[in-house]
Amino acid sequence: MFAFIPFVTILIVISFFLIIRKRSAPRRFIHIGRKIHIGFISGYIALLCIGLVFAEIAEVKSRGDMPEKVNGNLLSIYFDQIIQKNGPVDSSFILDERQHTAGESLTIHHPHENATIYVERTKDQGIIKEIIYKPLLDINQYDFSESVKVAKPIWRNNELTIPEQPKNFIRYISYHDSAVMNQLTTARGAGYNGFSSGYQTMVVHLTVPENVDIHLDSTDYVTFIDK
Amino acid sequence: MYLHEPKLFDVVKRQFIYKMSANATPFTMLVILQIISLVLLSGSMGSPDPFYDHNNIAYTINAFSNDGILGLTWFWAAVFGFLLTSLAQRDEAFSFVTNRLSHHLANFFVMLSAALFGGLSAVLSGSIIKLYAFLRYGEVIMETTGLLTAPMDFILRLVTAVLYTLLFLVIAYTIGTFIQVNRFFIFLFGALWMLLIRSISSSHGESFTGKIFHFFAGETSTSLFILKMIMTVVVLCTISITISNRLEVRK
Repeated sequence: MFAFIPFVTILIVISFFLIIRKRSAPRRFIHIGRKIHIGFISGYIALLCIGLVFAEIAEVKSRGDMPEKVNGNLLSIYFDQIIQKNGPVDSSFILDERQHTAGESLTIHHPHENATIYVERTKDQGIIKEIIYKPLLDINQYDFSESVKVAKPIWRNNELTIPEQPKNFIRYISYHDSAVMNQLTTARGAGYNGFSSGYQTMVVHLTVPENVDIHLDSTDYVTFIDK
Repeated sequence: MYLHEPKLFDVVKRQFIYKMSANATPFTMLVILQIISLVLLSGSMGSPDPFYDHNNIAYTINAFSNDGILGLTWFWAAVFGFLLTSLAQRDEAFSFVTNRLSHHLANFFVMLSAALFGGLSAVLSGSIIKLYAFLRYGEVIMETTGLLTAPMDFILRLVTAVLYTLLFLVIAYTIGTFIQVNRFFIFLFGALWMLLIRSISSSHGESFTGKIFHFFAGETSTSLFILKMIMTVVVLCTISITISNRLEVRK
């Protein structure tokens, strides 16, 4: 954008010069009739009005597809509900709930360290319960979690492997009206808060029978919950 | 004694129509500037290349706004306000049976029309940028509300843009009138400008310029903002009329 500023400035100066010159020596320049001026200006206003109508239609139509604005800190809400277990968990945070037949042991492979694993012991026998909470992405207080692609944990022969997570390409496109124009509106200061993002990796919550031996590749990002 | 004694209103009206017709070029120029700004600048700021913030997430950011167009409109307003006090404009005014008051009043109505046109076009140009962003990227986060979502906000945006444009026009017009009285004011305003710039860079607390800026831009009450703007415009117009009242004809 800034690369064009000198060009535009030069253009303004030249335009200004032409206006002044035209006034002092009108016959030397091409005379644009009043009707052409009026037609040009009216045409421009009409174009802007048509643009307004189409932009409003596009805005209304796309409203459902837009990431939701989050009131408060999305990551702290998530942390409170899932990790601290304060209050019920919002169902929208859950990606999947699965059950697996428990063997004598469970080996957890977590080579990429791209998930947080919580292990809770239970007296119930025979079944391992798994709840996968989706990764969370908050950009400028907009919830982009739906845009994050996830590779779920892989279960095979009493072994749980957290695979490498796919690469995500997030495009943050926004529009805001100039702040000066918004000084009297409800959107005061919107669009000038810089860029901030918060990311919480996928959380896997396992409820494992007490008699199952657990073997870990690494203890990083694995937490045992004591009830 | 005259067969037909002209009334001030009729003279002002006739002069206004003439001035609007004579000043069609600056209006067309604003349209051209806004179109160039829309095409070249498109109001976008952001990162052209993706950057990685977390392990597996890359971002690109594009923030669109009509800041550039609004700034350009205000620059145009300042130039146009100054242009209204040029020698050519003053000469044209005396093609009519006129006095200083009718000349200033007609100029004020021209400035009001320019402010309405400039403010309206600057606000509406935002829709073109918005539409461009929708057509190019499909999904755009609207950080400010549109006409259908919040009509009152749209009207307030329009009022704000028009009043600021009028303020820039009237400030430039007043400066132009001072210079018309005495060329010495060119140096005085130059020095004043330098002082204002210095006060921004050297002040530790809020500078004088900052206080002036805050007086207008910091106002969140609609009625108080409109009152401040109208009072400032009236004061500046009164100063222009008063200082040029005793000037000789065609000076």
